[in-house]
Amino acid sequence: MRIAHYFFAPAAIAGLAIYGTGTLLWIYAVSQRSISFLYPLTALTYVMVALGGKFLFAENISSERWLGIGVVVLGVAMLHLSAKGEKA
Amino acid sequence: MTPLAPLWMSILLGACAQVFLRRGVAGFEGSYFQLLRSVWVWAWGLCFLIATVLWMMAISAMQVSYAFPLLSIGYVIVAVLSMVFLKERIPAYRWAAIVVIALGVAIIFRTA
Repeated sequence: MRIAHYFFAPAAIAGLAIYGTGTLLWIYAVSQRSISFLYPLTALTYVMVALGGKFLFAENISSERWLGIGVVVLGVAMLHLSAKGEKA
Repeated sequence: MTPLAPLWMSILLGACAQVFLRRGVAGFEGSYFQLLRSVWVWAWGLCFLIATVLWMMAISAMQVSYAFPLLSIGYVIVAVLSMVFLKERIPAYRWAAIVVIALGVAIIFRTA
Protein backbone atom coordinates (compact mmCIF):
# COMPACT_ATOMS: atom_id res chain seq x y z
CA MET A 1 0.00 0.00 0.00
CA ARG A 2 1.30 3.39 -1.01
CA ILE A 3 0.23 4.82 2.31
CA ALA A 4 2.95 2.91 4.16
CA HIS A 5 5.38 4.79 1.95
CA TYR A 6 4.39 8.04 3.69
CA PHE A 7 5.40 6.78 7.14
CA PHE A 8 8.97 7.08 6.05
CA ALA A 9 8.62 10.53 4.55
CA PRO A 10 11.05 12.96 6.24
CA ALA A 11 8.21 15.27 7.23
CA ALA A 12 6.34 12.45 8.98
CA ILE A 13 9.43 11.31 10.87
CA ALA A 14 10.35 14.89 11.79
CA GLY A 15 6.78 15.52 12.93
CA LEU A 16 6.84 12.42 15.12
CA ALA A 17 10.21 13.36 16.60
CA ILE A 18 9.03 16.88 17.38
CA TYR A 19 5.82 15.54 18.91
CA GLY A 20 7.81 13.11 21.07
CA THR A 21 10.10 15.88 22.25
CA GLY A 22 7.08 18.02 22.98
CA THR A 23 5.59 15.25 25.09
CA LEU A 24 8.78 14.96 27.16
CA LEU A 25 8.77 18.71 27.72
CA TRP A 26 5.09 18.58 28.64
CA ILE A 27 5.80 15.92 31.27
CA TYR A 28 8.48 18.17 32.76
CA ALA A 29 6.12 21.15 32.80
CA VAL A 30 3.37 19.15 34.53
CA SER A 31 5.88 18.16 37.21
CA GLN A 32 6.44 21.84 37.96
CA ARG A 33 3.04 23.57 37.79
CA SER A 34 -0.61 22.76 38.42
CA ILE A 35 -2.52 21.03 35.63
CA SER A 36 -5.52 23.40 35.82
CA PHE A 37 -3.05 26.13 34.87
CA LEU A 38 -1.06 24.25 32.22
CA TYR A 39 -3.77 22.44 30.28
CA PRO A 40 -5.73 25.52 29.08
CA LEU A 41 -2.38 26.92 27.98
CA THR A 42 -2.30 24.29 25.24
CA ALA A 43 -4.90 26.35 23.38
CA LEU A 44 -1.89 28.36 22.19
CA THR A 45 -1.28 25.43 19.85
CA TYR A 46 -4.07 26.67 17.58
CA VAL A 47 -2.55 30.14 17.53
CA MET A 48 0.84 28.74 16.59
CA VAL A 49 -0.66 26.51 13.89
CA ALA A 50 -2.46 29.51 12.37
CA LEU A 51 0.71 31.61 12.44
CA GLY A 52 2.77 28.71 11.16
CA GLY A 53 0.37 28.27 8.26
CA LYS A 54 0.72 31.91 7.42
CA PHE A 55 4.48 32.14 7.56
CA LEU A 56 5.35 28.71 6.16
CA PHE A 57 2.60 28.16 3.62
CA ALA A 58 1.43 31.72 2.93
CA GLU A 59 -2.03 30.79 4.24
CA ASN A 60 -4.30 33.74 4.79
CA ILE A 61 -5.61 34.51 8.27
CA SER A 62 -9.04 36.14 8.15
CA SER A 63 -9.73 39.09 10.44
CA GLU A 64 -12.17 36.89 12.32
CA ARG A 65 -9.42 34.38 12.99
CA TRP A 66 -7.11 37.20 14.14
CA LEU A 67 -9.85 38.18 16.58
CA GLY A 68 -9.98 34.62 17.89
CA ILE A 69 -6.20 34.60 18.25
CA GLY A 70 -6.37 37.86 20.20
CA VAL A 71 -9.07 36.48 22.50
CA VAL A 72 -7.04 33.33 23.19
CA VAL A 73 -3.96 35.44 23.98
CA LEU A 74 -6.06 37.57 26.33
CA GLY A 75 -7.30 34.42 28.04
CA VAL A 76 -3.74 33.13 28.37
CA ALA A 77 -2.74 36.43 30.01
CA MET A 78 -5.64 36.07 32.44
CA LEU A 79 -4.56 32.48 33.07
CA HIS A 80 -1.08 33.66 34.04
CA LEU A 81 -2.56 36.31 36.30
CA SER A 82 -4.59 33.58 38.02
CA ALA A 83 -1.36 31.71 38.73
CA LYS A 84 0.69 34.56 40.13
CA GLY A 85 2.72 33.29 43.05
CA GLU A 86 1.66 29.69 42.48
CA LYS A 87 4.44 27.26 43.37
CA ALA A 88 6.90 28.26 40.66
CA MET B 1 -22.63 4.99 16.99
CA THR B 2 -22.73 8.67 16.16
CA PRO B 3 -19.42 10.53 16.01
CA LEU B 4 -20.51 12.47 19.11
CA ALA B 5 -20.02 9.53 21.48
CA PRO B 6 -16.34 8.97 20.67
CA LEU B 7 -15.83 12.74 20.72
CA TRP B 8 -17.14 13.19 24.25
CA MET B 9 -15.43 10.01 25.46
CA SER B 10 -12.19 11.29 23.96
CA ILE B 11 -12.50 14.66 25.69
CA LEU B 12 -13.33 13.06 29.03
CA LEU B 13 -10.57 10.46 28.84
CA GLY B 14 -8.07 13.08 27.71
CA ALA B 15 -8.93 15.24 30.71
CA CYS B 16 -8.56 12.27 33.07
CA ALA B 17 -5.23 11.47 31.45
CA GLN B 18 -3.85 14.95 32.18
CA VAL B 19 -4.96 14.77 35.81
CA PHE B 20 -3.39 11.30 36.18
CA LEU B 21 -0.13 12.68 34.76
CA ARG B 22 -0.11 15.53 37.27
CA ARG B 23 -0.81 13.05 40.07
CA GLY B 24 2.09 10.93 38.92
CA VAL B 25 4.76 13.54 38.28
CA ALA B 26 4.04 16.49 40.59
CA GLY B 27 7.36 17.50 42.15
CA PHE B 28 9.14 14.55 40.54
CA GLU B 29 12.90 14.98 40.29
CA GLY B 30 14.17 11.68 38.92
CA SER B 31 14.90 10.57 35.38
CA TYR B 32 12.30 9.97 32.67
CA PHE B 33 12.92 6.22 32.88
CA GLN B 34 11.98 6.18 36.55
CA LEU B 35 8.59 7.55 35.57
CA LEU B 36 7.79 4.16 34.07
CA ARG B 37 7.46 2.90 37.67
CA SER B 38 4.51 5.17 38.41
CA VAL B 39 1.06 3.63 38.05
CA TRP B 40 -0.35 7.11 37.40
CA VAL B 41 2.00 7.64 34.47
CA TRP B 42 0.83 4.33 33.00
CA ALA B 43 -2.77 5.42 33.57
CA TRP B 44 -1.96 8.65 31.73
CA GLY B 45 -0.41 6.74 28.84
CA LEU B 46 -3.30 4.33 28.48
CA CYS B 47 -6.03 6.98 28.71
CA PHE B 48 -4.11 9.22 26.33
CA LEU B 49 -3.75 6.44 23.78
CA ILE B 50 -7.45 5.51 23.88
CA ALA B 51 -8.46 9.20 23.83
CA THR B 52 -6.33 9.71 20.72
CA VAL B 53 -7.88 6.74 18.91
CA LEU B 54 -11.39 7.93 19.83
CA TRP B 55 -10.51 11.44 18.67
CA MET B 56 -9.38 10.16 15.28
CA MET B 57 -12.62 8.20 14.97
CA ALA B 58 -14.64 11.29 15.84
CA ILE B 59 -12.74 13.78 13.71
CA SER B 60 -13.02 11.59 10.62
CA ALA B 61 -16.78 11.91 10.79
CA MET B 62 -17.39 15.49 11.81
CA GLN B 63 -16.43 19.05 11.04
CA VAL B 64 -13.21 20.42 12.48
CA SER B 65 -15.05 23.68 13.20
CA TYR B 66 -17.31 21.76 15.56
CA ALA B 67 -14.92 19.25 17.14
CA PHE B 68 -11.97 21.47 18.07
CA PRO B 69 -13.91 24.12 20.02
CA LEU B 70 -15.52 21.30 22.00
CA LEU B 71 -12.04 20.32 23.19
CA SER B 72 -12.22 23.45 25.34
CA ILE B 73 -14.74 21.68 27.55
CA GLY B 74 -11.73 19.60 28.50
CA TYR B 75 -10.20 22.64 30.22
CA VAL B 76 -13.26 22.84 32.47
CA ILE B 77 -13.23 19.09 33.15
CA VAL B 78 -9.54 19.20 34.05
CA ALA B 79 -10.15 22.13 36.41
CA VAL B 80 -13.01 20.32 38.15
CA LEU B 81 -11.12 17.01 38.36
CA SER B 82 -7.99 18.75 39.67
CA MET B 83 -10.10 20.40 42.39
CA VAL B 84 -11.69 17.13 43.42
CA PHE B 85 -8.86 14.66 42.84
CA LEU B 86 -5.76 16.80 43.39
CA LYS B 87 -7.11 19.43 45.78
CA GLU B 88 -5.94 22.21 43.45
CA ARG B 89 -7.16 25.72 44.19
CA ILE B 90 -8.92 27.29 41.20
CA PRO B 91 -9.07 31.10 41.58
CA ALA B 92 -12.07 32.87 40.06
CA TYR B 93 -9.71 34.43 37.54
CA ARG B 94 -8.79 30.97 36.25
CA TRP B 95 -12.42 30.06 35.53
CA ALA B 96 -12.78 33.37 33.73
CA ALA B 97 -9.56 32.73 31.79
CA ILE B 98 -10.83 29.30 30.72
CA VAL B 99 -14.08 30.82 29.45
CA VAL B 100 -12.19 33.49 27.50
CA ILE B 101 -9.79 30.91 26.01
CA ALA B 102 -12.72 28.66 25.04
CA LEU B 103 -14.39 31.65 23.37
CA GLY B 104 -11.21 32.48 21.47
CA VAL B 105 -10.88 28.88 20.28
CA ALA B 106 -14.50 28.87 19.11
CA ILE B 107 -13.87 32.05 17.11
CA ILE B 108 -10.66 30.68 15.59
CA PHE B 109 -12.40 27.53 14.40
CA ARG B 110 -15.68 29.09 13.33
CA THR B 111 -14.49 29.32 9.74
CA ALA B 112 -12.20 26.28 9.68
